[in-house]
Amino acid sequence: MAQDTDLAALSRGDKGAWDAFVRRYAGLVMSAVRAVARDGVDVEDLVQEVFVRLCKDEFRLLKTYDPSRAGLSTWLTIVARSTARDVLRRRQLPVTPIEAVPEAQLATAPVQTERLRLPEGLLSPRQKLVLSMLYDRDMEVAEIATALGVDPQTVRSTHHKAMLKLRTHFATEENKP
Amino acid sequence: MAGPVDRTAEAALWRRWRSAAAGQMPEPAEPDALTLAAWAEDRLSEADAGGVEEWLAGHPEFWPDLAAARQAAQAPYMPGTEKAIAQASALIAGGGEVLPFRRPAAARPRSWRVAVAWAGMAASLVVTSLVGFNLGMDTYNGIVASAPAAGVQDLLDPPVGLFNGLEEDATI
Repeated sequence: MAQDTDLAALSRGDKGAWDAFVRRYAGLVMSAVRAVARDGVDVEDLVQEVFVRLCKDEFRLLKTYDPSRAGLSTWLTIVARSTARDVLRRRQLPVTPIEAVPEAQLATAPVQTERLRLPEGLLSPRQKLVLSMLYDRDMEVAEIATALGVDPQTVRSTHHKAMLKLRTHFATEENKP
Repeated sequence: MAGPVDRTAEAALWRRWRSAAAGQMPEPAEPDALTLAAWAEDRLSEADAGGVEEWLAGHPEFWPDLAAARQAAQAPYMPGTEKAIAQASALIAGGGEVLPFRRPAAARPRSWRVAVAWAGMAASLVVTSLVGFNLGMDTYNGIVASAPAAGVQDLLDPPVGLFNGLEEDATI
């Protein structure tokens, strides 16, 4: 992984280090962008865009990588997918067909202005994330568990606690004179 | 988890909270790729992870990225294609300078709209030419078919006898 890659030499623009880095990670970048691309898109073109971004401005992006914070494969996958999405958006090519988007996301919510003061920290960030995945994206518990890297039971438990807080809070608000 | 009816009620409760919360809480800053990677590997502190999750709740397009990133760390090595490797390697010259990337013309995807536009122009030229030719023919035939006035006939055909006296046996 990162230990096999001479990051210092890479950031200096060493040709040998760069070639070794490309040979080692081109496959990973290709897998990452292929998942974002759709039919008719040149995957190798997107791969090239990712490597261009990495070495642009004297390897500015590559120099931000810190192996003590995260693995190189993990970081590269995020960079690759984000770059591919940006490129496709610029080309205005469809990334996700509309049929694949959950209806909840397409529907426009009615304008409701609720003058409600919510206590800070009513829901934890993790609880908000789980509820958003469940109800905004129509994801299943198993999908959420995979996305968050936790057990499905943890997702259910997080959901349950969050709903309890919301019911209690809104019941309290409604009972106020 | 809840049945369908309960789920609808719970979804409504969530959206009610979200609607009320909008504007009350500041928009969390977008974490950089390294922070997201650290979150995917569970290497952030609880406070930092909370900040990332707060932001992720409003940016669902990044959720699949993080699931893929988490799997990438455990995935076996996969080689890239020779073309992809050659293209990327060529970005750095022997001296370490970064070469500007020029997408090969053949690889540039030609827009179908351009092809359609050119075909449309060519087709309109052909149609205009044909229509013009046919109109001209119709006009000529119409004039010839009717009894032309002497003046009109002269315009259409050369005068009779114009070339008289030009035969070889004309008297000199």
